[in-house]
Amino acid sequence: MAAFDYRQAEEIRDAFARHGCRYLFIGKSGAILLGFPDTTQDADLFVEKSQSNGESLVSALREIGFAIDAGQALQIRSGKDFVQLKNGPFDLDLVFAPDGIERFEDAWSRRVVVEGFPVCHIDDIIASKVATNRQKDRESLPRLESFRLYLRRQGRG
Amino acid sequence: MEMNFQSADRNAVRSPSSEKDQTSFRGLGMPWGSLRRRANGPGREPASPRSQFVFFSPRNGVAAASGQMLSCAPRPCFRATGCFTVSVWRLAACAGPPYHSSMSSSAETPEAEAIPADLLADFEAAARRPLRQRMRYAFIHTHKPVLDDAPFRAFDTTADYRRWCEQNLPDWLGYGRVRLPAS
Repeated sequence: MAAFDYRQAEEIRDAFARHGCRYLFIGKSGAILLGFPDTTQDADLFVEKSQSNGESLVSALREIGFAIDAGQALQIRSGKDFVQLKNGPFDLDLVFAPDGIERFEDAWSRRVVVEGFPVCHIDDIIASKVATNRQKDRESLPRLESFRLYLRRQGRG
Repeated sequence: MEMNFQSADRNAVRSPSSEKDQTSFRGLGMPWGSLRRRANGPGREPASPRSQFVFFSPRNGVAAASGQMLSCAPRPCFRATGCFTVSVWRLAACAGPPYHSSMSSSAETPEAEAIPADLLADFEAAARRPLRQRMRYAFIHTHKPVLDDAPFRAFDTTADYRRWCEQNLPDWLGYGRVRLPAS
């Protein structure tokens, strides 16, 4: 499978917009959209947890090319907190309840839009990684902290 | 960012001997000194010379820092640039306290805090590139055992997912949570 690229991000953006999905790029993929120079392996989306958003999400994902069967669609709609998709053109993690962020609305109100891509604020990305506290998060946090400082100085944080 | 590496001759690699040498752990953004202290304790040499690697900066082409790795080799993947990209790390730092215990909140971070010069140069270079180009080099794909072996997984809670990762994934993938050592 090829790595996630700009065109695929555009597909997400456009299909999700057509279906009215509420989502934010989060994690290192979100930081990269904000300008963070680093590498990652997949895209993470923080998705609003609601029945209607779940239905929109399933429709949009199928349109992009994810092979989501009826049982899987039910799980997405029924409000699972974490869904890992590797049955489409690229790997995608749907995070309905990320560590360190209380409510989708809070993150949505702080979102940053980059070329039409809705992205979590760098504070939320860092808060999530701090709360998760995995080995791989721990290793990237010092650089993310410096990047937040850089954004602030640029008037973008 | 890419980090190019090569396995180092044990005679060619030494832990940084001065504080000045220990201040930069390029690519990971972690102070080498803290890694070394956590891994080995003050004044102790790394346990295994074979676990050391030298990291080369793609920008200036010189060794920027040396690091100690535990239990596994880095998993390189070839990129269009022909360089090795280190994607998964298991570092000595895992023995330390949770990162957030010493992290400043955004409100507490003094604006006068310095951004390390090498990181600042990276941020500024990235800012000059269009998003499409940055994404081309930011997203890589390597096979992650177990994790990539099922087309679909769903977890009732995020905690369930974290637990599943810890119980099923190899440690070296880095999905395990860092815990305080027993006192």
